[in-house]
Amino acid sequence: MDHIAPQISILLAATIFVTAILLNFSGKISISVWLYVVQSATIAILLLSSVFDRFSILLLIAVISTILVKVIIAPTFFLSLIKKYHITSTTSTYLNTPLTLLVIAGLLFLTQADFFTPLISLAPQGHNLLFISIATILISLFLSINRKGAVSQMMGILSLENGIVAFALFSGLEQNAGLQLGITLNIFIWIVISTVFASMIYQKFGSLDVSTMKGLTE
Amino acid sequence: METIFNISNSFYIIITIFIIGAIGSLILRNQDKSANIWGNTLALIGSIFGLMFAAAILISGTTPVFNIPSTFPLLSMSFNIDYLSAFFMLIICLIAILCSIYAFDYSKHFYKKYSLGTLGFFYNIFIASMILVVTAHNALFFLIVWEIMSLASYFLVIFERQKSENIEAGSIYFTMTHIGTAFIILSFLLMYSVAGSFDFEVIKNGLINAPELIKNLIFITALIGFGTKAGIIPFHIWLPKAHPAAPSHVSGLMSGVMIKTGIYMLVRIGLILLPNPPLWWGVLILVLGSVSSVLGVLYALAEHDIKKLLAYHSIENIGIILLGLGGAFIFTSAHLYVFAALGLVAALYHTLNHATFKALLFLGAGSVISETHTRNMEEYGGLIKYMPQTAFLFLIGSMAISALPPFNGFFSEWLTFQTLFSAINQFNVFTKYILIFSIASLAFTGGLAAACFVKAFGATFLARPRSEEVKHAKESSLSLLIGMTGLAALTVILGFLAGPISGILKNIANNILNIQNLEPVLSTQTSSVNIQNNFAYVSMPVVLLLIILATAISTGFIFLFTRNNKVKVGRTWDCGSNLTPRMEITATGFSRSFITIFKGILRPQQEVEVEYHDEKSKYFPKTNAITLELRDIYMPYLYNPFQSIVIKFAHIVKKIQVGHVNAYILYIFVTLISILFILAI
Amino acid sequence: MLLPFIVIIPLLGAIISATVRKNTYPLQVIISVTACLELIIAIIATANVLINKSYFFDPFFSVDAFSAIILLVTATVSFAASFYSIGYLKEEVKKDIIGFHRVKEYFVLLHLFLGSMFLAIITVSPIVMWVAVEATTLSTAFLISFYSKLSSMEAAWKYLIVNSIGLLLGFLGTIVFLSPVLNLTEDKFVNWFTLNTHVSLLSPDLTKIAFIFILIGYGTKAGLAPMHTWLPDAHSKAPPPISALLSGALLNIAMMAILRFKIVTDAAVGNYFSQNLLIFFGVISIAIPAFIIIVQKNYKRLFAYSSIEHMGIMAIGFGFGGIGTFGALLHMIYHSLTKSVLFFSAGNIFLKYSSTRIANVKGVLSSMPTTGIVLLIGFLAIIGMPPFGIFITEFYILSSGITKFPLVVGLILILLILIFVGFLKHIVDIAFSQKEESMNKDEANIFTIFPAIFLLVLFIFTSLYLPQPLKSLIDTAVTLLNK
Repeated sequence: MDHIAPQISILLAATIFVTAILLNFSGKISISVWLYVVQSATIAILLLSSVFDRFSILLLIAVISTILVKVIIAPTFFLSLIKKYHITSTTSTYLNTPLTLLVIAGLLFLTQADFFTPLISLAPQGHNLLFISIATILISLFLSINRKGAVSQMMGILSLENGIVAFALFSGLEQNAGLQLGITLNIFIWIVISTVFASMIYQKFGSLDVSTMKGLTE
Repeated sequence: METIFNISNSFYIIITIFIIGAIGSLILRNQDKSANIWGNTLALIGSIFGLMFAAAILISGTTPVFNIPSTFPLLSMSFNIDYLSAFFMLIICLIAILCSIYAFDYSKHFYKKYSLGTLGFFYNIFIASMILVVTAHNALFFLIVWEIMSLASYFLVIFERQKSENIEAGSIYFTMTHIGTAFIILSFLLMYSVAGSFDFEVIKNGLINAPELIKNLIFITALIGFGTKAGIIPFHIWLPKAHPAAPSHVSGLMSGVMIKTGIYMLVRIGLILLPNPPLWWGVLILVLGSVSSVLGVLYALAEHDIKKLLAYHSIENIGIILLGLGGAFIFTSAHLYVFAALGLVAALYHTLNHATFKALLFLGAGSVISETHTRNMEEYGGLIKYMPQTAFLFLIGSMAISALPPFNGFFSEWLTFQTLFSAINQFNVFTKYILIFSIASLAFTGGLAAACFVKAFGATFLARPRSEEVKHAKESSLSLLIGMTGLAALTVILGFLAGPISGILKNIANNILNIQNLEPVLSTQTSSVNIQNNFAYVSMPVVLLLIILATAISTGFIFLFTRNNKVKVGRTWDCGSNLTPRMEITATGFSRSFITIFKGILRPQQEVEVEYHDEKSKYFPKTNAITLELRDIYMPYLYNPFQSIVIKFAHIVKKIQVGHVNAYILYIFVTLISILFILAI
Repeated sequence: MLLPFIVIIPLLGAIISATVRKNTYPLQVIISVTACLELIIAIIATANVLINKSYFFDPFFSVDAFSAIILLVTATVSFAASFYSIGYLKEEVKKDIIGFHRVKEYFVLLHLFLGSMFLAIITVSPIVMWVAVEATTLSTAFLISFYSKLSSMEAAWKYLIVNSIGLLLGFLGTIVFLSPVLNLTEDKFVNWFTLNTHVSLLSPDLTKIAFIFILIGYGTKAGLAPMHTWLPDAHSKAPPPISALLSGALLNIAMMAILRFKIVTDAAVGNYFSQNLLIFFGVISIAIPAFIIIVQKNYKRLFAYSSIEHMGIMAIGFGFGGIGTFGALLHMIYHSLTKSVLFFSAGNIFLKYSSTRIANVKGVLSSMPTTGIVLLIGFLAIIGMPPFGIFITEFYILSSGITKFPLVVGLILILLILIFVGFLKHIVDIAFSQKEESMNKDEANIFTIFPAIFLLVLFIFTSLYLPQPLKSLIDTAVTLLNK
């Protein structure tokens, strides 16, 4: 990532990170959706900058498709889901807000821990960036665990995926267009399928609260 | 000719006959009669050839070694038929011949109800797998045929599957035998870890320098594993359930032969594969033998189900075999090999004898059961009038199992006593007491066994019929009688020929222990057996002669004195009430005194149910039912606690499937972090 | 030259099936044809591997001895499952449980599922493999929720979420493996060969972390505990042919992914690391199902837990190494065949009894003799009874571990006993109890019986006699894995 000034890359990374944290606290689904859009846009910008670095048609297509899928199509799907069923607020979480903050702080602390250091060797000059990506990953995982709404879980997964893509970018894999295309295609289908599922769940179970689905035990 | 009938081919032909019998039965399964005849005939032919084969090996003294290589690594179907294997093969085939003859007519009462094709299939596989078990020379191959034997016998036990108690019996049997196999697997794996191969010969060489701990572990796991199959207390709980459930000719085979395969492997592992057994192994076997024999006969005494009674007697006799075997072990540890040979002879002879008379008794019980349709001895009585020949043959079996001369049981128990007696002087104080305890239990067992069979024979055949079914009983048909007569004849012959047979067994024992040229302690002639130059001496023909003489003289005297007396027929004094057959002494009644004496061990329980005419005043009972039973101490104290702990733990483990997907993600997250954390440390 | 067709044919099958209207017959014809073709291509590919040691279609697809085994197994199980689907769905349509549109949806998704599985096996790029495995998740999600019942939806959602998270973690691992090679060698496409040749570029610590992510990530897909929680739900709620494919084919592919990375990891850090991890996860994967099987009330969940247990046994086998690897590979083959047989029998039982609870199913041997016998043989096979092959493979795995890990071997033996006891009780309850008087004695159509018997015969044949070509194939694969 030598073509962008380090400050800008840190700013972008921070955006990704902050949106992940905020996703943990958003009250309405629409806010989550917009946070995700911001996050994806940031990723797209990062990708775009790599196009300037080493131009290739394939990469450009990859960037455009990323923007298309994540920034445009995804929110459309989600917002239509919300509109169809008039869902406004997300459901509750398992841990209340102070505890959530505590856990997030703990996770941040964890990323500084020894066992992630080897990962940093992947991009010695940008190790802050990598830390932030790892933090994003952990926080997104926590998001899926903590929140009870189906859409929140989907957001968690998508945010996790963004974090991994950011990690890939910061460790120097952005040149690989095939990678990006594959991921984008995957995400697209994933979004479609999970939205369909979410609406089916709403029809069957009457709410998007995942904790109502506890019938299958033992 | 030479190459067709060379040794390995003959062996393969024998096994193939059984396989053809099995598959043919299955193909013919829709025609009861043909399936029955096919299955039993081929089993018969295979067993006859097997008998000839085994006898040929014992006579000729060669040890054929051959194998079929297989594409699976580590597995080679290798056979090594030494004296021990041939001896056991002989027992298997001998009993199988007679049981198969019996089965021709016995299976008739399964027509239309159950598939005789299935019976023939599993029966043939059962016998073939037993032969393979005693001749296999590769541990993996052994395990495969061992489990096939258990599998075949499981399906035979649950053959009459419409009765739910048979299914339950089968499940307990299958579970216990599988647990035993797990121990056996562990034992073989330990041998593999030291020797690097599964071939018995290589294992034997590899174990010479193995560490003591491994050798002890191998022995203990083998003892538990093969002991479960043999029915040693406390691993015996499957035996009293499974042997009654199977069809009677199969029960005879299971009791007479299958449980002996456990003994076979104990001999092979303990005395052949493992070098230099320490003293405590033998002592352990002696203790187990004493406990099994005493408890086995006590439980038998309390039984009124005739097949269960016989099953408990099998446990008792395994105990007796173990006494002989234990003697062999302790002598080996003291390097007194000639005495060890004596112990082995006793154990092996009793193995053969028990096979014959136990099979005879089971076949007899089978005849009775198929005529009276019940296993409950309380409902028998007076069968001697309806089934005289069966009664006579059963009597012979009872006398043999009670170790009465001139039958074979007497001589093998005599040899066991002699082994134990000669051991007393040679060992330290602790072992001396164990030996004295063992001798005492053997004597005790002998007496109680006799008492038990007085009860069994008396309650079944003597006095008057206690139920209607008995009056319709007919004598057993021809094939049943031939089978039983063959076995009865064997008990007499094996008794009469105790001398020569002990000689043959001595050769076998010498071969096992590798002591061909030492001066034996046991010397046998055609007409007598003596130990240590007439320290102890018994001569079978003399005994027989004496018995015949005694019988003749007493009969003669009675005849002389009473021939002029008139015989008056009148009623037995009955105190004014009408005597009915229900007032005879029953099996339960007979054993009450024994149970009361031993109630500390046996823990009898009594349940009284009274139904009154008037519930409020409770003065006049309408019906009164008393249930007497022995409380089983193994299930509640040994197996059930285990079971309930496992189930409790299972319910706890079940709770990890919480149902909430968040929890599932949490598991992944925590696992990830913990592993990364552990890595970093 | 023929190889890409194994992916193209299912895709074509999906497209053509999507255009069918009104009648289910063309759908059945399409699936039959594609299943046969896929099997033939798999056999040809395997034959090529036997002759030439590996089979290339540069630069995108290749098959070596290891993937040949998995390809062959997957194609065989798909072959049987496709025919079984025909029979099973026919019966369900007869009973009015589902209609034409559902059947069409089923076959389209089935084709996509098979195509993505084959793609995952033959591709040379770890990234494409990841995409293909993710594609299997997506195509099967709707197959699991096929019956639109509450519980199916629940199972499908959990399947989707948990697997997506797992696969994303696996993706992170893949990236960490690939990035040093990508950055330092200027190769555009990293495939397995370049990864293996450039092992020296991977720092040991980095590799260890990457492998952990791979193991936990793909391990979720493979059903290793404690990431297995989605498996009992998904495999039991799906239609039986899909359960058979999930248990018999997809789990193997996930395991294959883990093993491919294990080869790289072992070359970089020595094999102690992956060995200990695999053994650890393997033991837990046997322990948890061992207890739950004892108190299980639903026979399809029972079979699902059994799959988890067998995956654990395979993981331990691969971990122990030596003859354990041979055993684990052979176990993979036997398990896929047997588990499919069991699920097919479960399907037949469900068609007759309409309940998946063990308590509601009695007397299968009397009411459905063929299925009953197949069920019994399948049970004996899966529980590790000789003369069936799983006994030998479990024995190999135990022997390879006895010298270095005797306590683990002892523990596994105890757990295997527990599984035996629980399983026996349930199967005895299902098969031997008395059937209801009103139930008549019949079987469903031929398509529900023939696939199970086909697989069973194949299994019994290879249990008794391991054909030399198969053995040399497995030996070659073992040398690949044990380098």
